[in-house]
Amino acid sequence: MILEVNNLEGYYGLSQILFGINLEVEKGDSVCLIGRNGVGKTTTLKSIVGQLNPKVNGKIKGSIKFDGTELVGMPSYKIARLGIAYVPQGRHIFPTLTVKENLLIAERVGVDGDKTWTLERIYELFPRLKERENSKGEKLSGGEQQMLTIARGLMQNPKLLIMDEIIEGLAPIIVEELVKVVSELRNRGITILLAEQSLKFALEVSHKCYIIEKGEVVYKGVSSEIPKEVFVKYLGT
Amino acid sequence: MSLSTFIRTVIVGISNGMVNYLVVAGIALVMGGIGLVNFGQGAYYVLGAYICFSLTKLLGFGWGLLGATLITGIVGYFIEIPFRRLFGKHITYMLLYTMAFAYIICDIMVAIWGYQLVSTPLPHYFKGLVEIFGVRFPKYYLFMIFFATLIAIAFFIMFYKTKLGMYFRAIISDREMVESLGINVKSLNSIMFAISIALGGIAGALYSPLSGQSPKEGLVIFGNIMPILMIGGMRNLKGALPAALLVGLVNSFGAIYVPSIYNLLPFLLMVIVMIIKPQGLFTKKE
Repeated sequence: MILEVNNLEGYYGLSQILFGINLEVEKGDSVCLIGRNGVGKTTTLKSIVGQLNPKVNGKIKGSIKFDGTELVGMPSYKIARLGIAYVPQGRHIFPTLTVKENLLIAERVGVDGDKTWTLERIYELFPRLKERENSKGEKLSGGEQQMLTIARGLMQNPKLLIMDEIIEGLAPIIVEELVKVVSELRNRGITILLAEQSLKFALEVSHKCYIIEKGEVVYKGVSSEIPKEVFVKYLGT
Repeated sequence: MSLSTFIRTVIVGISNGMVNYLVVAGIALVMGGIGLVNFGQGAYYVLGAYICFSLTKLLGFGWGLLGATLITGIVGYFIEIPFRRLFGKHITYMLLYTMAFAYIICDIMVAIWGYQLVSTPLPHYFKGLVEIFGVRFPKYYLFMIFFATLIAIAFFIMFYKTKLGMYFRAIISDREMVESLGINVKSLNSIMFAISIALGGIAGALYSPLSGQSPKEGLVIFGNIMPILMIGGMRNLKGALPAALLVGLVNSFGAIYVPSIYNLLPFLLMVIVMIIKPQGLFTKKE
């Protein structure tokens, strides 16, 4: 098990968002957290990458183990150095940096000396980014920006790639492209954890699913085997 | 006004503008990067002047400039530690806290150098005038322009062309994301602060041969810099340059044409800019 989250409780100020989340991600697997807006998907991911810290009025309890290392209480830059790359909701590319700089700033040799992803390999997977390498991040289209955030995550040569609602606000044709990208990453054996509102996309790109409601895991199972009435019950579709 | 007076006034204006630009660039850097307005930057400017004065007497002017830069940089590196608690705080809190530090630094200077006004003795090769195309220029003012420009270019190369600058630019737009890429933002903040304070120190050292400094002057320098900051646009490193030159020229020509009131001109300009273009004269509206 590469990631084990046990009884995770998360707070923003006085309000509790997560009520004891349990989840597991196996090496090489693709796992999706699915749920409606505001149920705690993003908070869960932020807890894992160390962005829910006391400085921003956040607090977490419970345990998050990555490769046996406890992440709770660790600053986010150290968590990233353990091999976790984070593609946040809302993209968060650096608008004043060029595409190339956006990639180079994340460049890192993986924990086991892994150098799979270089600028060249990234440009092979995302030829569009090569074309735009000298454009400022802010000049890119939404789809290009999203490609860039995924590419930036890969530049860290991570053991685990965490992605939060990557198709939000994108045109269907770009979503198709992202499905291909994520499938390609899965084929290459990259461990993936995503959060998604779109059921269709979630089922296409994940092997296992956790359905989250009001800060708790209410259902888990293999994506392709989840009965339809489960989705109707929790997601209304 | 004769041509040579005109040219000399321009030189004086530009040289003051360039030196002030270094101070403003330092303030704007941490304002963008850490979100901190260092109202006490003047203290480090005067610190640079005093270090330059003492080292020049001991070792010569070159060592004075170098020493002022390095020592203020080191002071900046360590002073970042107590300043960390200002992150995300209200600006009133910043004002009081940074000014308290300015008072502390200035009073330490009083303890070391006393209240005496000091001005760095100029080496003989910078004294007097040099004639270029029939116009006589004060040598030291030309050197000031040259040296301050050099520092400004070095700063721009650092900021726009190096990996360190890339980190700084990224931190300015999205600090949390930079941290999530595995980069230790805290240690970069210390370096950013060191550069910011050193820029103030260089400026103070460069200006120190021209006028007598007293330690308590460190407390008012931010006031003189404010118009540049506002006219250029807060956090705008590029916009601060034309703003600094403009204010420098307004000052030098004002001193000739309206000597009794020239000090108020930059502030008048600042108020006008704040009314008609509050984001700054050289900043695009967002």
